[in-house]
Amino acid sequence: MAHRSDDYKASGSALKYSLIAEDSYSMGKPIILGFTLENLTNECFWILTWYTPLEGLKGRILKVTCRGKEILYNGLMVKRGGPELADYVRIGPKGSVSAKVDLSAAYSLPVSNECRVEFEGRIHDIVRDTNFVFIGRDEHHWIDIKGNAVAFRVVGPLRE
Amino acid sequence: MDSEGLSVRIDFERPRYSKRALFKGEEGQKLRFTLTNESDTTLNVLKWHTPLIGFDSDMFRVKKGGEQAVYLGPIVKWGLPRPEDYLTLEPKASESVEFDLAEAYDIFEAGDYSVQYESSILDVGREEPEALAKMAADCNEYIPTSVSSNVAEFRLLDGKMPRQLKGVAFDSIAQMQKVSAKVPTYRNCTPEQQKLLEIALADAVKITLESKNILLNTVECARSEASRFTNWFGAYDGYRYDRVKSNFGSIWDALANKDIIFNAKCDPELCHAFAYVYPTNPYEIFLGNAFWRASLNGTDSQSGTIVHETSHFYIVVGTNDHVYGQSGCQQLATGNPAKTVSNADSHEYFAENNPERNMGADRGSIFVTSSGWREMPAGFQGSFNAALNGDGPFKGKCFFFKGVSYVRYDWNAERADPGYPRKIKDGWRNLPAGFQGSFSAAINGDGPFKGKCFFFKGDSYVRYDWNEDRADPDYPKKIKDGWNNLPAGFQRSFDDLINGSGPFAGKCYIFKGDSYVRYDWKADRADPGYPAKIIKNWRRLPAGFEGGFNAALEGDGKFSSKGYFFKGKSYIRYNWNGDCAESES
Repeated sequence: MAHRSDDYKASGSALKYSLIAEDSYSMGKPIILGFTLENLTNECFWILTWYTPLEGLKGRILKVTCRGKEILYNGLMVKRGGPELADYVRIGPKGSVSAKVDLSAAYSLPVSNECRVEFEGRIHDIVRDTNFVFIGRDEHHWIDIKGNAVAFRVVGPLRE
Repeated sequence: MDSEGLSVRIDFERPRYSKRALFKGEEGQKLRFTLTNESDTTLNVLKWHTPLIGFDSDMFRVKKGGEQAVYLGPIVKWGLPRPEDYLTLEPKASESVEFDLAEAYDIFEAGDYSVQYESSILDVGREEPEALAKMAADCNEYIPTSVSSNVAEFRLLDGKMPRQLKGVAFDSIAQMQKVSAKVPTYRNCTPEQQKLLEIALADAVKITLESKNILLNTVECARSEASRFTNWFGAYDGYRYDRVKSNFGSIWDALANKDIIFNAKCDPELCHAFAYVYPTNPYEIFLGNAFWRASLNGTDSQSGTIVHETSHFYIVVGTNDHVYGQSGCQQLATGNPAKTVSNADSHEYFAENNPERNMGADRGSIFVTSSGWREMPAGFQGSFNAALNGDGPFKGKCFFFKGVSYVRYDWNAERADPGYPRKIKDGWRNLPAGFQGSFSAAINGDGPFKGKCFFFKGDSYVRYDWNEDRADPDYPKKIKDGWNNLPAGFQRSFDDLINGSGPFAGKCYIFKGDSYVRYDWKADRADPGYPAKIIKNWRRLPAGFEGGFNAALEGDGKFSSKGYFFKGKSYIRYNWNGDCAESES
């Protein structure tokens, strides 16, 4: 296994994320949030999708609060082995990648005037395109990036 | 049957610049096996004894130098082939599979290896699979075709523990620990997996118990230099330390006393992982391929993974995966230590303790008096007879006595006042004859005796009033007449005394040789049960200080939680709150 040169450590300001939500959702129905990761630079990066919405919900990566109370995550939490190429996604200069996650799969949201979702904003491995060498999980260097939180309403189920 | 026309190729993924593939110790050796029909006719091949069916026999030669790696996989005795056991290969077509060589071979020593597939394809023919299977069943005998591949090379960059040895050596450990570990529930586990898990769980119990105990037993003075803690949880902080200690208590309790469930059936999408859990669903742990490849102990080991996963359950600790991997966790400990107490891998690595780090030295540090106490005049850089804090008008000062002279020191300025040493008889008024030097000890009164200080010499003492700045009349008196309940041998010639602070406030400690007596100011008597040996109750004393000191002094101002003990040209710092001798920091 080769070592990467150190310059892959892109700064946190190279990327930003956005969360997108509807104004309201129905309780018991899917609650689909959009997630977009944007490359703000003119470089090309490989991004490890682990523990980001780009791979779905496979960890406690979102903080969900309804009526001011944090909602318990009831999805799964994974301790990863070695990454595979498929675990990375390439983002070109000024490019972006998007994914959708269904919150209702891992959180039981109550009827609420305001539920708030935050992403902790951590990218666990980022590599400049020209530098891409596969390295073990233990050599990954995480960075924190900025983005927005979203808020929405959860309404009761409609009477049939 | 036609055996001609088959070729086998094996390939490692390797860096472009390198002749051989490079692997790190624990990551396994991923190998691609490709079987090609070189002929112009369609062939049907029985997949047995090829990786296309998985490991069913010792089909590779894995060599390092002249040594051959031991095959640890299963040896399957097949029954009769069924049509579906055949692979149909069109002319020039290939079938390939990728697998981990380390799953079946004990590859542990760092170095250069060569690998070759060398086996027999049991049955190959142009006939349809059904016909071949029927023929094989009819004759109950195949004509095997020997096939060998190219030789592929790889380098193992670092060694790991041989799997075979582990199996043997840890059987006895598991035996010993059976009493403490409950038998887990196994779901979808083979008998081999159950055996491994039993050992791994016992080891997980062992390392969490060790973690819990070492956190409990490490005295406060050692914690700031406890690299095992600071490396994973950041610079020492009492709150964080207590959280981690309690976390390990919870993890240990879960592993030792709760019904752990191991489930070897993983979601196909997650099977390459070590393991996963639903934190709302204690105590079921799903195991993936990386777990089975991991070693029992060491970094990212089987037992460590069990600790990691168990910590995730909300009912246990409810940790998250803020970051993973050793370097990621170290980065977190430096940059955002508050998060480490809820990060699973930080706990795993503390418990695995690989590479080994310690919880600080067993003893405190010895400091040089002339560097710790600044601008002390010549002749006053050690070997004091006694030391004393000022009170009343002299609050904020302390005094060092030696022979007939003394030096005044300023706690705030942290230096000796200029114009010293002076003669004791010139600075301390009304001292009776014979009490103007060579004290053996000095102490400030507390409780009913606040505002006074006491000088000791031989079997006598003098009381001094700070506000009056003069010795009280009618002294010297005999120690045994003024100090009540002192045991025999403690009625004369103390080395020095010191007032307790923090949890020990209201008491003073009288030292003589390697023993001490505790005196209660309010009751005005020595506490029962003394003398005791210094070494017994004063923790982390450096070598040489267990046998006693020349002088002792309470800290003042910003140093008021400390006590200082002087001996020769050295001194130590005692932390009253932690009840231990401090280390340099």
